[in-house]
Amino acid sequence: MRKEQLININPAARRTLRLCGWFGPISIGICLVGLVVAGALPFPLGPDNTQEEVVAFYSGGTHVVMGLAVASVGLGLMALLIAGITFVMWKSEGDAPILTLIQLVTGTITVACLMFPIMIMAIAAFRPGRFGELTVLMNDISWLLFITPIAPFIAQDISIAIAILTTERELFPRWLGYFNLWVGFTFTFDIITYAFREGPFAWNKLLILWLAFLSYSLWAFAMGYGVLKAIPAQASGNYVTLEDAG
Amino acid sequence: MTTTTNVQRIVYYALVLVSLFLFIGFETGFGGMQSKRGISAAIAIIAFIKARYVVLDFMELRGTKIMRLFDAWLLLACTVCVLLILR
Amino acid sequence: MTSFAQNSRDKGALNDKPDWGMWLFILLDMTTFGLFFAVFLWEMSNHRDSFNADAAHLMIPLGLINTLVLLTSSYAVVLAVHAGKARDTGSAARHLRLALGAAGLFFTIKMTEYTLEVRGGHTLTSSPFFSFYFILTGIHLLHICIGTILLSNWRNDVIRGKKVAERWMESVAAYWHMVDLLWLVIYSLVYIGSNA
Repeated sequence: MRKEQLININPAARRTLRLCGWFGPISIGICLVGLVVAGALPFPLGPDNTQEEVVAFYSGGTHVVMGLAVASVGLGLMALLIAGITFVMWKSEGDAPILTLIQLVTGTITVACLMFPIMIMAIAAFRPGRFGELTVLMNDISWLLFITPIAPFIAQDISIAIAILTTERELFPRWLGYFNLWVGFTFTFDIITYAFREGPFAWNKLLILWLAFLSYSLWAFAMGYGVLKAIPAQASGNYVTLEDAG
Repeated sequence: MTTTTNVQRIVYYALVLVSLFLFIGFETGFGGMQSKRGISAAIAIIAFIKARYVVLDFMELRGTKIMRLFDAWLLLACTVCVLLILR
Repeated sequence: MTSFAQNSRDKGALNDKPDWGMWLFILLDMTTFGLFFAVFLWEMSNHRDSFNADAAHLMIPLGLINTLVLLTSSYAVVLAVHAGKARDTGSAARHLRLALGAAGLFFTIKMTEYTLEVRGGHTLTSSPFFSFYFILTGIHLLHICIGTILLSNWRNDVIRGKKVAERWMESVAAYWHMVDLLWLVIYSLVYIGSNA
């Protein structure tokens, strides 16, 4: 079946779906800006920072708390991309959209697991006068919560990959299926960071944070692109309206 | 097709032999060579040559356009590893 | 019930259009390992003596056996692909059984090795070298497990007389060869190279 037959929706829905696709890269962009403004990037706090260093960061001023808040907004808006992916997968999977449902559920959990840790960081920065130990605790909680919930995202990637690689209805490009497998792989070893408070496997190091950040950002761009490409250039004009449905 | 199968069989035995030689070399102290870093670098180069034959003849990319990509990757990876070993 | 292999799209003449997406995945996966190797070698150059001292506790003979086992498994898959393309299901099934048996042996030897290392006091966090050892070989072992599932899937289809798409066969084979290739590098850099 051709794209035009599979995604045969009214213009308003088309526009919304396009928006969903665009919010892949847009969300990442907002998140990046927020984290840079907050000073959390490019040199994020690690488990081996001293209590003084951690407190100093969170006491850094309004730009810290607001930057983190903006970053959490960006990550929350990834939900739109998840919705867009869900719709395209649903159209390509047909009448038993199990993989689509797995993607929807796990994608939603992932977005929540990305959003909340950044909000905890913002909360840590909200009241700078806390006991240092408490601030360190909140910092540990937020970074570890950010990095380690790998299961939902890996499941999301695998469900997308299987759907793309086994479907007869080509809506997402095939390379995107393989790409999802790689992205999922880059998260598999992130839970080892629980065992390291220093060294190359600490949460803020290349192999843990930066690789995951890179692969997730690329994923958001690639899936956003995939959703946009899935929408046929021209509406077929034969979509069913509410009046037609009676 | 038969030629390819023969080449693949030769490659298999060669890879086995090289792996054995590396082991024997290690057990015998690499002929008393002094430079540990030199030995490690040589071993890394041998490893990537072995990897190249797996790509060429097991993955059957010999003569394809994709092989150029793999060659570039293997060369880059090998260079980086050797530089890091020798630093 | 159709299998994953049968559902794989097999569009166009196989040898005309390479499956770029699959090769992209292979290269990306190798690059990820490459990053691990680079960080390992960086750390080793900063702590050469302690890495050398720790590496002396590795069981090189087991590493060698695993190298030979995995090479054999990889070669068996080469032959299975030939058999599959020639529609010789008996030969394909036999070679896949050999490949799977070898994978099982690799896994067993690895687990034995891990057990012996841990009993010897070397764990994930006991030293930087052993952190790398366990994580590198652990991630590799995860790849072995995934490859085993894929090979089993393929073999089951062959045994049940189901048609296996050539593209699917070649993808699984390429993945397995990648796993073999990565082990060759791990054996050389971690087992032999760290000890040299």
